[in-house]
Amino acid sequence: MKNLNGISNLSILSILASILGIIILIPIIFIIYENFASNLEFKQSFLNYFYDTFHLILLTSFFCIIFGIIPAWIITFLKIKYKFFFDLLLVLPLAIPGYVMAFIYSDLLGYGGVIDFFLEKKFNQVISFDVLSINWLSLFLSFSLFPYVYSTARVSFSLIGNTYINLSESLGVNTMSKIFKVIIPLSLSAIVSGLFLVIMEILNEYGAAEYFGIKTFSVGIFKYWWALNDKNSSIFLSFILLIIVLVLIFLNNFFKKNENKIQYHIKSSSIILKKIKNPFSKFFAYVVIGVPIVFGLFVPLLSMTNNVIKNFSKFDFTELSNLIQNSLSISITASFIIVAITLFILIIKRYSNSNLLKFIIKILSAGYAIPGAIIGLSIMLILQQNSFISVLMGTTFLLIYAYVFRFIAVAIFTIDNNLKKQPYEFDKLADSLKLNNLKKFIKINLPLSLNSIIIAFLIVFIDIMKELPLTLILRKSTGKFNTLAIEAYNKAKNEELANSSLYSLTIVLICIIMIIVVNIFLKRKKHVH
Amino acid sequence: MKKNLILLLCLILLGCTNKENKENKENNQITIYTKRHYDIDKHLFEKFEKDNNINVNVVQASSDELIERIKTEGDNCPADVLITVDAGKLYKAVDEKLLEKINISDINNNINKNLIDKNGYWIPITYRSRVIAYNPEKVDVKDLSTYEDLKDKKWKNRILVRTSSNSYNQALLSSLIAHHGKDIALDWANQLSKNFARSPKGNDRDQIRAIFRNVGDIAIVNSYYVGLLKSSDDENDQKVGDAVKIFFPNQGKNERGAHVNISGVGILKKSPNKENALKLIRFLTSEYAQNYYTNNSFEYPVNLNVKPSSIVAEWGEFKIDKLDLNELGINRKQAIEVFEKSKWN
Repeated sequence: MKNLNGISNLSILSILASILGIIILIPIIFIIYENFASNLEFKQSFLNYFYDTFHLILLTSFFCIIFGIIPAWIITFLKIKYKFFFDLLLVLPLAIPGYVMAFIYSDLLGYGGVIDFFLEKKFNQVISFDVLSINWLSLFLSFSLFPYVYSTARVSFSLIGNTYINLSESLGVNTMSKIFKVIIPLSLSAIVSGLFLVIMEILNEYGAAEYFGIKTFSVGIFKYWWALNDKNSSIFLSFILLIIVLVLIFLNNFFKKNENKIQYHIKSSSIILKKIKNPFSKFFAYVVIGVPIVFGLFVPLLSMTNNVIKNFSKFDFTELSNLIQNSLSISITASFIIVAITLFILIIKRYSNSNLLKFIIKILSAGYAIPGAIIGLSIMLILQQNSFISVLMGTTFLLIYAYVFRFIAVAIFTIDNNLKKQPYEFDKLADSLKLNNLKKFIKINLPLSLNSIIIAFLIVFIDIMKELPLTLILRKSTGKFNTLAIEAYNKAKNEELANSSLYSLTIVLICIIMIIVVNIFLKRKKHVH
Repeated sequence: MKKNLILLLCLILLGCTNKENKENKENNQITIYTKRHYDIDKHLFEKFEKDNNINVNVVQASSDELIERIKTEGDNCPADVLITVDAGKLYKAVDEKLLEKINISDINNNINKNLIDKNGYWIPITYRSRVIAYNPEKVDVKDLSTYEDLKDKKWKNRILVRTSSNSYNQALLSSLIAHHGKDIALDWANQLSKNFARSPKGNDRDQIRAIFRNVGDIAIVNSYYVGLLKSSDDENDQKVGDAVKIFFPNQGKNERGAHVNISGVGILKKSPNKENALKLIRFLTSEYAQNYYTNNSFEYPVNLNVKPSSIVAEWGEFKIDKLDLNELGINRKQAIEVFEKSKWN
């Protein structure tokens, strides 16, 4: 039982947490307000943005499913050599930002590119094709996004375990129907949440889409805002995008609810790995695992390394170390603040069970899906309203605020999933021992959440390292503040891909190290369970 | 406790904020907001920093973003100068009342008169022409004449160009509106898009690469990209660059000359270091900087005492369109509307 004092303390805290949540939400509130405040009309040309965005989403998702689910299935259920390495290598492409992937491949495969010239030399015949198209972009983006589907599918497959599979086998179900009638339905919610992250990334995609001449929402928002000087249309497009995102979040939650029902039944035995007897099938299995690794990781890494070696004498390494320092310090500070705020809000939600706070947290999860560019611009517009707050423009504080808005969802997903699994009996026990909330948090929930906190920190860190439009718009205007991502993007955009490679390679290497650390933590977490 | 911690962190950050702004008020520095992000510019800023012992801060973003940023920062804007690669954007900054008049006639004396701002708000640094790159094996140079002629049916499925949201294309169309009016410009854009070899995409270099692979025969590109390809360290790029030739349109006796645009600089009204801003402008238009620009970026120097680089000189002299460059800004909104209505995506 909570005493009176406890309740009032908690309600103050929950009000504080709600206010904090609302402050973080200001950019969304502003877009919605502006949308209704100004006279907006739906233009025929908006339809193109729908068409292209959905085309890109569907095709990229399709490729991500192929590159993600099949290898996850093979790694989980079949006996494969070097499983640990494959498992890791299939996640690492996440370290390569989508725009870098797209620029690298269009440079390699495009007209007058390395492959083009190679084929000409080898076969004495021109075999080239136009890679600047929506279908190719889908493929290139999927090379860096499939790990989202792979990792969620992989976790889900290993949770299914052998119980269901043995059961279906004893019922005489063949392999194909086993996959489509048992495994896929059971993992559907996990695959959907992986795809959800893929779609969020695509909606955020700006740099590559613009270069490929494809009309995604982000490209449209920029075009109306800057090129057409039509802020209203741009706000309207942002608003439509926001609604799409909310619908996706709703669908994702809907699938998650089903998942809870399923998990209840799973008391799985550990998986018995099947040996592949047929050498041809064995070879085929390795090819299926190998393709996404080669194209998602080795080819871009080799291409970047090659560019770096070729231009080695031209690089300014003092600048590189300066950029690394900037990127690391801003990413670490912001990740720390994001995780701290997330933990505060989620713990207060757990203790107070406030409905308002629950609602705010749901909306906060939408932040991840809103293109960085919109956040940056809506923040700028808000600052323009008042000269007092405009002092904040170009400060570290504002940049971190924007990061909090954009990436708090990532921390919420990770930490909240873990908190939900902590039995409420522990809390009740602490209450019966008359521990106050702070002690309850420090003694019980914090130690139990530690792993998820570290994972959240690392994922947010990786995201901020790669982040582009927000940093570009809101970065400090004094001192020599530039980040690796800004430098890499500027160079690539300026048609100097070779020079940009040093910076993108550095981002990728730092992120690879972080992903390996996350994986080690995840493995440790499994042992703890 | 956690709450206090967050509060404390916010306070520390706010503290940093104030410090950051104060730092900027110090005298011996200059803050440059620039669209240009080439290594050449970096080198020149470093040289300026060393020679004058002035600390240089650079914020690089697109011109529209920078203008928006200057407006947002208001009185706290630390920027001293704005550098863009399009006279239209400088006009936009003037229109938003962000720039002040620059009164240094000694600089203008050395600068090509056709490129000077008649209102005195900005100074050009370099200029470039939007030219026609063509495949000499497929195109008889006699068939090439004017921008207007590109809408002719003989060019069906042969023209390559990037999208209409690109500011170089918008500037070109602004000049056509200034000369012929909106209706003719719309007809031109529509007819021209019927002649496209593929839907607009990629950057200027990609158009030249597509000529190299026979996707189309001619491309509308900025002159210096051909120079950059020809002088590249990459053997493949050199081959691509060598495969095309440059044609300057509208050179006939009664024709107006090829469309040009400038890279230019303006001083912000609220610039905290105006003296340094003037020093920078003198430096960027000096013979040293102008030589450096033309020999590395293959743009044309605006300083009359400096000759274009050998690669640029090879393309020969040409007649430039003498249109007041502010027209590229004045007609921008209409140009964008025309593009929106046209089939040029």
